[in-house]
Amino acid sequence: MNAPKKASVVALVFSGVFCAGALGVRVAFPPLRVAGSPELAGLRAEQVQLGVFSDGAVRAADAKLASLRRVLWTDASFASWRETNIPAGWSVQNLGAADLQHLHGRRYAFLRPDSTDREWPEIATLLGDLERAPAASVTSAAIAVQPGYAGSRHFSQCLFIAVFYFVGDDGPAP
Amino acid sequence: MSKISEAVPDPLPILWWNNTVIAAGSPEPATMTLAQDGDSVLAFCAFVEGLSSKRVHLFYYSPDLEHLTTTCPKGSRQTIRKALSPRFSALADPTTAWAAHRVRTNAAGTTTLLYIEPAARLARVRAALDDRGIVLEAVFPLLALLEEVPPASQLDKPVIAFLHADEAAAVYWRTPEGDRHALFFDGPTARERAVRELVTAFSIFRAAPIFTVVSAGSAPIDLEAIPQKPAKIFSAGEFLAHAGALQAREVSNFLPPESLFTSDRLCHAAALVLFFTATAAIGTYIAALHTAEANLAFQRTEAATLESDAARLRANKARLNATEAVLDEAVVATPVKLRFIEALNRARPAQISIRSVVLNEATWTIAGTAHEGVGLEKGPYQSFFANFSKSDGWTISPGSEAVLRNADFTLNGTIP
Repeated sequence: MNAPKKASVVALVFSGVFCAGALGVRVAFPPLRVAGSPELAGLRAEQVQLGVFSDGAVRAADAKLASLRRVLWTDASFASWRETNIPAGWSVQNLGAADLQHLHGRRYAFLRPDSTDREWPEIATLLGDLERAPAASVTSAAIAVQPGYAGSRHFSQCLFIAVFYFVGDDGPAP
Repeated sequence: MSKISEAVPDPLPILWWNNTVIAAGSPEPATMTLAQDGDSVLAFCAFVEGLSSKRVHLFYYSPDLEHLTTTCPKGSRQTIRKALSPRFSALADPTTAWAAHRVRTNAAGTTTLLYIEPAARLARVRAALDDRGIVLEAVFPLLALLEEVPPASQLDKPVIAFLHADEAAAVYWRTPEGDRHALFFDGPTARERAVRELVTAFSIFRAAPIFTVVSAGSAPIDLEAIPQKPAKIFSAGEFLAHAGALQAREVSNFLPPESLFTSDRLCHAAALVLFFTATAAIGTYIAALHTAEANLAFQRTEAATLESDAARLRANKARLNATEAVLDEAVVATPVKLRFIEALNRARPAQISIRSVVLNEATWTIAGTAHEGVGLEKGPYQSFFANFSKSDGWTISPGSEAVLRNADFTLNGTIP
């Protein structure tokens, strides 16, 4: 077999160098294809964790808060309720603000001194009214009678303590 | 020298006989007489280069050629080489240029006219033309073409032919028995000597043979001494017009086509393979780059979406936390206190009196006195205890007295 022509050898060398260069570039600078980005995986995990805080959950909570706000007491509404529901002979004492951070709660003591079993109906009515009052919680009810058979018809203590929640700076804007 | 017309089809037939070179052409052939001194190969190549044809078939004779008639088997070039190599050692060398007329059958068997080129002149011609971008596809013996040209091509008839150039001549004859002979003459007196040989040749034919003349000389020759008039006188152009009768793959070609697997072709093939491999590598690399970029863009888009969603959900979380903090503080105790007291009054028999009741948000305490049934396992207290404990609004703490040991008792429990 004769020796190849110079032009053929040059073409072969050129093609060889071209091919080596092309393959070299492929090996040296491979196209980066990130299969599992840690940042992406972290974001996906965070989204799963935060999934419970959906827009629906926010709407439901906002609805509850709106419902609460609608029934919060004002000074005027409380005065009206008190005038309507507190019979004569009862003493209402403001015990001060409840220990709350986000709501304005006022603790009230409702006392009926010198009461007997004849006043039981109004005592029961008031306790029922307090328990049914919106945005109010009866935290304590204490009834005691005086000792002895004769004393059993006289209440030595008739005390209800309730917290009334009032309008104020109470949470996120509606 | 006249220029060859573009109308001449490839390959271009050229006659090269001693110092006479004639290239077929229209309307007239191009001719050249090579100088006696100087490199005849380079001069020939320069002549061919001026013909504007890239493929050449050469019809050739040179005094350097050895030629003889010999028995020869029919078959391929390889078969003939193998058969004749024992008698002609030069044929064993694959670089030796040789050619054989088509093998014919006569009384002696199958014979041919064999030509062997001792010096590698034709290979040098081909290489020199190759350097000029011209392919010398085939080199045929001059007389091989004669055998293909009518009327000399009529194998069943005796033939005698006279060919001449300015300083060269040849006499060829084929007897009725099929024997072939050829004599070549060179030099200034070549034609005169050839004519004398022609006269002698005629004398061996009992019947008139077909007489053909090929005139490649610049001047006509006097054939008055010949007893028979030629059946046909060819000019060089007419003679070369039959060049298509011989093909490059025939055994009469001194320079048969190279194998497909030459080093040059292998080089080209390897270069092509490497080139296309590189091109494919680049193409797939670019495609992979685009894919990777698309993948990264998709991931960036997904990350942006996730970040946006996460920001929204984090805002939701903050809002929910703030809302729930408010709602959690708005605790309303279970409204069971009135029901508790009423249930207590209903459950209490006359033998039991209650001294005090204290109800807190989650606990309760009752203090009372049993006026009867102390120490009994079944009495008013047990009845009261059983009745009062039937409620889903409160529970009595475990361990509360089920059997009274004293008249005064205390019950407590929880409000769930």
